[in-house]
Amino acid sequence: MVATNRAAEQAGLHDGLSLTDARALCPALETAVATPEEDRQSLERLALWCLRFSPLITAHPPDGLAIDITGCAHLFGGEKSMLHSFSEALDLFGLSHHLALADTIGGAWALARYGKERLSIIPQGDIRTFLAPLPLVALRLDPAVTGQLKQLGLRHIRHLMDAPQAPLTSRFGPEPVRRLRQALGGEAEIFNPLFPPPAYSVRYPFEEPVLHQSALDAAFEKLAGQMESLLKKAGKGSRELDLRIFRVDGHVRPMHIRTSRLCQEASHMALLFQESLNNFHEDLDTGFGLDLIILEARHIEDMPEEQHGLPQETRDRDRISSPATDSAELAQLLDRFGNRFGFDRITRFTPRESYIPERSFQTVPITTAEPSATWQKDNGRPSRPFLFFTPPEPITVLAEVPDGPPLRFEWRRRHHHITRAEGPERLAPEWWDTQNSDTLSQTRDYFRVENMDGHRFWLFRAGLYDRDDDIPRWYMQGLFP
Amino acid sequence: METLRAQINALDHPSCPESAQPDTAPFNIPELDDALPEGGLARGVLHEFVPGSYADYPAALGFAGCLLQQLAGARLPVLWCSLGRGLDHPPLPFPPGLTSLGLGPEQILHIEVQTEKELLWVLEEGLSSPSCPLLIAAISQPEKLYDFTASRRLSLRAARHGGTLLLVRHHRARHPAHRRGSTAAATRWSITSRPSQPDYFSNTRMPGFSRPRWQVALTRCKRGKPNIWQLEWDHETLSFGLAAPLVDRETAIPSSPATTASGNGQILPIRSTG
Repeated sequence: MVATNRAAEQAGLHDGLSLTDARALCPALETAVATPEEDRQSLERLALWCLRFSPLITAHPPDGLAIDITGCAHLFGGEKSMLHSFSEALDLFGLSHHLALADTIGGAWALARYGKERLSIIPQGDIRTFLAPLPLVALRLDPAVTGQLKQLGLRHIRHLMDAPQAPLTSRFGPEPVRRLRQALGGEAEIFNPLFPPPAYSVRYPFEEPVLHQSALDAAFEKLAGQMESLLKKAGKGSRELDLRIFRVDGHVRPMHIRTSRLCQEASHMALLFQESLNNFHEDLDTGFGLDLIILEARHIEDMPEEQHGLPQETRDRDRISSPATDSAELAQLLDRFGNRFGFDRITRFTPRESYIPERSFQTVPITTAEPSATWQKDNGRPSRPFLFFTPPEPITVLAEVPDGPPLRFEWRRRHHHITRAEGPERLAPEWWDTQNSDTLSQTRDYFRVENMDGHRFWLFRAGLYDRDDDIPRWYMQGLFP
Repeated sequence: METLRAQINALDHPSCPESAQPDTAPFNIPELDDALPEGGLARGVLHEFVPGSYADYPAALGFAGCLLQQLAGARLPVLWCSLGRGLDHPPLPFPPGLTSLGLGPEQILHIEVQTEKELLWVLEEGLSSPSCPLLIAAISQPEKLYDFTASRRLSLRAARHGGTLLLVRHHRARHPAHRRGSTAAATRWSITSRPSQPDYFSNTRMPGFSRPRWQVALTRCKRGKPNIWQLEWDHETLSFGLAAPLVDRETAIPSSPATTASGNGQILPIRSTG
């Protein structure tokens, strides 16, 4: 038995009992198979919902949540009313709960689990008096250590507070003292939030739950405007934005976008979120209504100064003289594509310093930095194909040995009779690179050939006939226009 | 009547943003430019390129690439949209191959999409943005969604913002059996590879080749004169040229490799390798 409800507890059942014993004690017992993984997932969903109270939340599996409300309480009318509204919301979900608000994570943890009251707030600095009467289990210690301490007569935190710390450490390791100091605020404890805190966050709570998308769009517009003025005031731009839409029944719909260029304008945000919002509207399931949306900006960087608001004709004239003026609009367009398909699907070519055709270029996502290398100038000679097969496709070839051009070849089950040929163009492997596969480490002789119908191909032979350790093979590498 | 015509014209062609660029890219070949109503390849419209057969896909893509160079010059960004991987042909051009058409590899922004629906969406969005005046896309599988409505939508967007779209279609679009009605493209070209001009060298038995040659057929053009031309692309002047109407003489094809003899009567060693 892993968990029991209150009625079962009143019937005398407790965790760890075997099912047969439990049935014997209480014949009317209802049971269900424990699903720890699903429990963890729903705890995380609940944590997501708690984002409405503060951006810093973390889950303490199996049954706890921690929220850092530093600087958030005033939004809900003080700590007390915040705790009450939290509790009311949990009641509506049908969750039994214990809430505690304390100066330290350890203190709140202990009071929520072992305190007398369902809702408790420890005034600042009073943590000692509140913790003292609690049992030692409340210190998040290893059960074995707690058992040993119990045998020594240390049953409550009070006892541990009074005991000298040096013998404790030498006997039980640093853990008990560290946990105690953490609970009392003598030692820092790392709060490990589920989501990194945003740099800027704006929220729009609806007075009444809304059901229509027009209200949602209007609220989003307002939030985007607020975010823009926040970012503008600080001279910053954002590369990542999160929009969270909270439903009354606790469901949270997160939306995440990234940008390739720093985003500051509300219009840009609206453009980027438009796609996800449209999707949201399509399968619009507002349940009992939406009651809150939050817009958060992450990954903040200083915004370079740019001149805005030039008259339209000036910009049009500039466009003809320099394509750079378009880069902002182009970036917005690419952001839309990137957020729909993923940024790795939008690529551009960058050169690499190699004569091996496969290695002479790279396709990189547009979000990576501008390349420093330059393209090798071929004087525009059409010695390279337009379409390129990587890896090259093996073909069957009839050719003159040792180094003549092919006469016929078969590729993709078609025979091609060659009427024009140029070559060979020899590309030797890079001598410093010895750990490559066979085709890359062999000397290649490239031929440009044309068949009777006028289709043009780029073939190569890997390996030489007169070299003993080479087995020459032919490959199709590319197609000319 | 005249005023009515003007009104219809204004409705048909929504106000194009006034730009300093010429509205056409002429071929500089009188025969070809005269056949086109605008005296060259028009901007702000949709052009279609259909390969003559399965094997002519590189030719159609290459011809579209050459036209792209004529439209873009060496600096305008080009949005290259391609459909998926795992097809017969690679979705992207080879960057060094682009330079021989006069295009810079750094001009190309490539978007890879999985479905035809996504492709059409990207093209519409790209045409709606004033920042990307040139788009090229290849539908390298039989078309399912691209029809008159889709092409009309693309044409309207192109006309509104002055963007130009070059669309390379699947070769089956040529066959009446597979055609799903007509499309709203301004021009449609059908491209077939032709044997190129042989370059004879004294030290080889097989001639080389220089400029790619295509048979280019203008199969659809409103107010134009559809015709067929043999075109060549000159990589040195970055321009098209008409091939000589009488093609070269028949080249000797070695009838059987075993009997192929070189000048001094020796049998050449020939080996089949696979």
